[in-house]
Amino acid sequence: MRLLFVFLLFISCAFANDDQTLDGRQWLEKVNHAMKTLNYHGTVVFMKHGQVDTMRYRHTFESGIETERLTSLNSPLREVTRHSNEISCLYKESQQKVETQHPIDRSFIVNLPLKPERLHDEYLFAAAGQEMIAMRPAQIIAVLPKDDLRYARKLWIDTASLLPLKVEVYGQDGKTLEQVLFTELNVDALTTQTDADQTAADEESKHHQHVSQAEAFEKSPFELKNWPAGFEKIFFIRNTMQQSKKTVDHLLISDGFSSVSVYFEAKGEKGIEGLRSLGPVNSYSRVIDDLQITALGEVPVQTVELVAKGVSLR
Amino acid sequence: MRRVQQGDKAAFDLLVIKYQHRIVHLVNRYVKDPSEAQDVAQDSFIKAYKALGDFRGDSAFYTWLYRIAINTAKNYLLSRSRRHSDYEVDMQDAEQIENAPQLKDIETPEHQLMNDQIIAVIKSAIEKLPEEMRIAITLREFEGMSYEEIAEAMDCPIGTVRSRIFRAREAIDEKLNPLLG
Amino acid sequence: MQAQQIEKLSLLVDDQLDNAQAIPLLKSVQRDPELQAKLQRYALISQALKGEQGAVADLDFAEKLKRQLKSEPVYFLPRKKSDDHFKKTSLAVAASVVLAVVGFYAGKMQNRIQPFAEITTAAQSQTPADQMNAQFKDYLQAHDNVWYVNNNVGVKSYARLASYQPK
Repeated sequence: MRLLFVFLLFISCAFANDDQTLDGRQWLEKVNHAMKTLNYHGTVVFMKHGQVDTMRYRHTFESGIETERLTSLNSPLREVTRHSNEISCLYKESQQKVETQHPIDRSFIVNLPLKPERLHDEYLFAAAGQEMIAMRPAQIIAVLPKDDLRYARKLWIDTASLLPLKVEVYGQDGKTLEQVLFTELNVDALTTQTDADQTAADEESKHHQHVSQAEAFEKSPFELKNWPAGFEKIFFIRNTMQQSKKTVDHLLISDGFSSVSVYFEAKGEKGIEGLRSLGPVNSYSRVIDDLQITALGEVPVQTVELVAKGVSLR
Repeated sequence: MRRVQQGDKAAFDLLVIKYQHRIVHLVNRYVKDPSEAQDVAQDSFIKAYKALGDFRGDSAFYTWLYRIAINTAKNYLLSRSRRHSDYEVDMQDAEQIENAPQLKDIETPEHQLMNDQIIAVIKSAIEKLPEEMRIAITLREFEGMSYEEIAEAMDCPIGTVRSRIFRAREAIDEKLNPLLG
Repeated sequence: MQAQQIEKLSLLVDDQLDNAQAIPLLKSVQRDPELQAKLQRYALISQALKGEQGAVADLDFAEKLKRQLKSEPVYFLPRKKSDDHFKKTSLAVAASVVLAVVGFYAGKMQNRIQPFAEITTAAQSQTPADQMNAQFKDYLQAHDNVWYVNNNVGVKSYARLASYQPK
């Protein structure tokens, strides 16, 4: 892993465009802002969790609230909408609808840290040349972890709109784990906003999260003792699982790129222990007395294991 | 293999049956403890199953599995050495661990005794084999010759080689079976 | 145990059996404890003849592994053959490349398994492996709203939902 990191660093420096005035970190800040505040639409291919889906995508930003909508092109026909942190999924063929809330806003496309400079010790952000994506010139930004507790990423940023055109997440062996790709992208005209609206929008985007029904970490009966540097506590909630309807305590930590959820519930008849994987998502479960503890996130196996093993009761 | 790569777990189960003894034996050369070799071999197969998508078919499946098993065994030795602070082996190079004399031989006396008995019974059975059967099985197992090469060496048809090797194994097994029964 | 099967076992140990014969034989071994024991003894004989320390798989090795693999989620298999390695992508920056990824993946994905399909189907029964997969799915759903984007299992999984989360 270290050799790969050094090699990539060399490559990124070697191919850096002399005309660039922005470094990798600055590009990321601009992308974050553009993603949240522009209106745009296009067609996206998702390669996630072992599946490939092509969907129409639309993003709007009005009165300080972000809305994303994904409409599938293939069966089962579904429309997934995110209005700030409220998610709904409508299955058109059956008219079944699922609605839920997440304590924080999470983009369908890619999540980026609000302040990349905070992660200076954990990641290297490098501008790594240009390519064409969806017939648009794109700046490549490499996000290279400095430890083996997180994945490397690359973003291809549309140089005109500063929107992400393609995102890839890589495993520690360099293989692609996940990909999101726009095959076409169109930026819409901005809606007219008053100054007050703009101020509100700026404030919202600064906060980055909408935390509802969430409580302070310290209210959790559980304590996390180990987690990778750069990760921050985000929320603690008591959550009802969609399928099982069980009530589960849910802690989430994130470094902006990746998140790790830690779940606590009563152990069933037989506790579940050990590792599970699906694409870039890994989980590690263990049992403490009558409690089932699981750490799950889009991080390497050793990270979820580190987090899960560092859990204790307050 | 194609069926296995398409997620056919039943097909993978058959590969396990075919290669299980070879992998346990291979792993045991590193870990030197037959009971731990079982666990490390299990891990090797699990890793192979998870990595099936990476198998490109450009080498024999066994060769690919063999490499996974060796790496798993070496990693196991590395982690085992880390747990024992009195070991003064350089942790940076797993190759060194393989040859490190400081590593304790953790074979139990009981198992060694059983192993010695098994070998003694097998050797005794081989010595009692008719000459052509003894030569055929020795060329196959000890020299690693193919059936075609053995046929050429013994100047007989391949079918005869098959038969001699089979009858040799059966004769030895007749003596071995009661010991393990 | 039939004599013919045992003779084939000897050929199997020496890799002298073609797939057409090997597969049915391995299935027989899987079902027959006597054949399993015979195979184990053949392996011991082979090792002893080589002058090596005997170490063979326990008789329940394959069964134990099968149980462990049953609880493993189905992985995203296989990966594309020509991997778009990080290094190669970085080196290609000088050229303008239009990536026909959609077509490429569409071609490669025809025979892909759908892990969530298997997890959902399994969730309808009550084996420990099924429970593990169902729990994994629940946790993933709570962790990341993008799960809804990729959950193309179909209506059946959601038909079982009695209600949705209140706002």
